[in-house]
Formats: sequence, C-alpha cells, structure tokens
Amino acid sequence: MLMQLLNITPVFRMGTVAIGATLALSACDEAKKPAAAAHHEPAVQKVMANPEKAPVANDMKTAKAGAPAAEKAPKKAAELSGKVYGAGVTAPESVNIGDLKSRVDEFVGKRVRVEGLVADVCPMRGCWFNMAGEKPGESLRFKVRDGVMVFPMSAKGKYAVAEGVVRKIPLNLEQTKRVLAHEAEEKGEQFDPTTVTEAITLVRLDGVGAVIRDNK
Amino acid sequence: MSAGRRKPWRHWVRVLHRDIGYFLAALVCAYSISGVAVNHIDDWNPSYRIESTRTTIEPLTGDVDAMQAQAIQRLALDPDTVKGRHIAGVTRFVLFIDGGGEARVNPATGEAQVKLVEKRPVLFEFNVLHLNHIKGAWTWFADATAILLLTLAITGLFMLRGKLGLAGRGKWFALAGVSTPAAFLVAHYMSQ
Repeated sequence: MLMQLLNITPVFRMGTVAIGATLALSACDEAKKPAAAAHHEPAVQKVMANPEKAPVANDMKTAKAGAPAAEKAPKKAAELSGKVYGAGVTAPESVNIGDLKSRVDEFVGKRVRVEGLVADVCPMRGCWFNMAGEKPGESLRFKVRDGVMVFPMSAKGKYAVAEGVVRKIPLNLEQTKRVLAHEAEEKGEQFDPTTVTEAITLVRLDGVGAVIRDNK
Repeated sequence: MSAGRRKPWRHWVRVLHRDIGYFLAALVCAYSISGVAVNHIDDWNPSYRIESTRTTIEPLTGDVDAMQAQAIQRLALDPDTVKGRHIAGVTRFVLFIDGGGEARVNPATGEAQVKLVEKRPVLFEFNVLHLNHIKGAWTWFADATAILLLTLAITGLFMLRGKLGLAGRGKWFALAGVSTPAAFLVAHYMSQ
C-alpha cells in the first residue's frame, strides 16, 4: 500500500526525503551541540562582542584573599537538574547577587554564574527573568534578545542558576522614565512618570545560559 | 495517446502545489493565526491572558508562614495553586501562583494585587511553533517549511496558462502583490 502511494505521486517521495533530511540534520545538530562542558577556561580572556567569550569571574572569596582559585572540576550543566536554556551553565561556582551589585564595577564585562529564586518573568516575549538575592529587595535581571531564549511565565517562583556577562547601563532621567514606563506597560500596570525623580543605573546579566528547576 | 507520452511540466507544477498545499494546510493556518496575534503585540499579550485585580485585606502579621496562610485565606486563593513565596521588600510580600501568577501584598496596609495567568488555549501552542520557542530540531523543520512555502508560491505562479495564467489576469494580481508592500516600504523610508 505504501509503495503504491509512493508511486502515485513524486511529492510523497519528496516529502519523505524532506522529513528524513530534516531529522538527519537535527541529529547532526544534536551531535554538534557542545557537551555541558568540563572545559577549563583561561584565566583572562578579551571581552569580545559575543558574551560567551567574556572572562569568567573568580569566586568572591578567593578573589578577595588574592589566592588562586581552588582547583575544582567545573560542574557540567547536566549535573544541574532542571530545564536548560541557551548554553546552559558551565561555571562551577555562583557569585552572590548582593555582592555582585554592591561591587558591580569589579564584575562589569565578566561572565559570572548567579542563582536565585525567579521573582519575575517577562510576560510578553519571555526575554528576561529577575532573580532574587538573599536579602529582601535584592534582585538581578537575566536578559536575552527576543527569541534567543524564551522563558515561560510558569518559571516564576522556581529556582534559577544562570550564567551571563555583567552589564552596567547608566541612564539619564529621561531614559529612566522610558525604561520604567516600558516595564509597567509589559506588566499591564499604571505608571506615573512624575514619580521618577532620580536616574537609575541598570545592572543586569546579558544571558548566555540558564537552568531552571522547581526548587533550590 | 501513446503509453510512453511524458506529462507536461505544468502537470508536475500542479502536483507539487497540490500536495505541498495539503501538507502545509494546518501549519499555514497556525502560522497565520499566530502572525495576526503577534502583529498586535502592542495591544495585547498574544500568549497569556493575565487577569489583575486590586483589593485591600486586613494587614498581615506574624512570621512568614503565618503571613502566607493569612494572605491565602483573605484573598480566597486555592492553597494548592500557591507554590512559593518571596519577600521582595518591606512593602511587598509575594505569593507565587501556578502558571506564573502572583499575589502581592503590602503587609502593613493590606493593599493587594492578584495576577492570575492563563495560557491562551491553542493560540499559545501556535505561537510556540511560529516563534520557535522549541529550538533544536524544530528550527530545521521550520526552515524546511519555509522552503516548501516558497515552492508553493512559485508553483502557484506557473500552474495555469492562457488568460487565467501568469501571462493573463495573473500578472495583475502578481503586480499588486509586489507593488503594495513596495509602496509601504517606500513610504516608510521616506518618512525617516
């Protein structure tokens, strides 16, 4: 029956080849995907336009002591349970969000790993999520370009381990109002620009990868 | 008619157009509906329905567990849907609700905002496919779909001949299909 069907029209043959080629290509894609890496990054790298090439910040404690970083095999992303987004997480240790934000100039341009409760998610395109720090009110945004990674709203309340390049964006008052207005619009909330009297500096992670799971 | 007579090339053009059309019918419908939805993203959220209500309840007191229990009871939330909590600040006690919702309460004043989030049935899935949330193998399938759509367009131009074909009335429709978007582009560039 199948052979008869295939003989009736060449399109079925073409369709079968197309689907087979698609599956074969996807298999190649999966094979080529870099394994959650147990690779060792060099101590210093030039910051390039691609955040994946940014230098990795050492653990806060060892950086402070001036001692060389402990020789630990980096955890593979597969060892972090949860749903993997983007390139996943390869750095072995997390930087405390509060420490990062209080000493942001030490981390700007560097690739870091952070973790925390997912306190909020972009409701429109799923292009960012906020991670809560240990202290009330502390949070850090993980941001990607639209479509690069898409975080579902159901990720809110879950736990994220994320890796990205720290970016500091000082805004003037006008820019501050526009950013806050845009966020309010995304959330469907009212916004009164007259309540904004001081410019803010945005600190965020330009995302490389994340792993999100139900619990810490 | 001899048994070995070859079919004209236009026969295969029509076969391709017909069968690719059948194959893509469902996906083109999904993509089109999603496209309209996403085209109006400035006016609505194409993937989620978010219902937001503001109310005031009695202030929350006690430790975090007590505040959570009070908030659930006073906001009439289903306890089974509350999956976590977070103190976002002195004035913001947040309960996370299944699916991406939240209840935000000012413990001191009792001012509360509850946001319930629901995926738009079917449309959410259409957007997942259209906007490639899945990534991986779906990217390749979507590329193959685009090639098939291109084939559909080109075969459509050459399916018929004579006064119903491209040389006849077809050329006017094809010209309109090119000149309309071109006019929008020209107007767009001239306005910049």
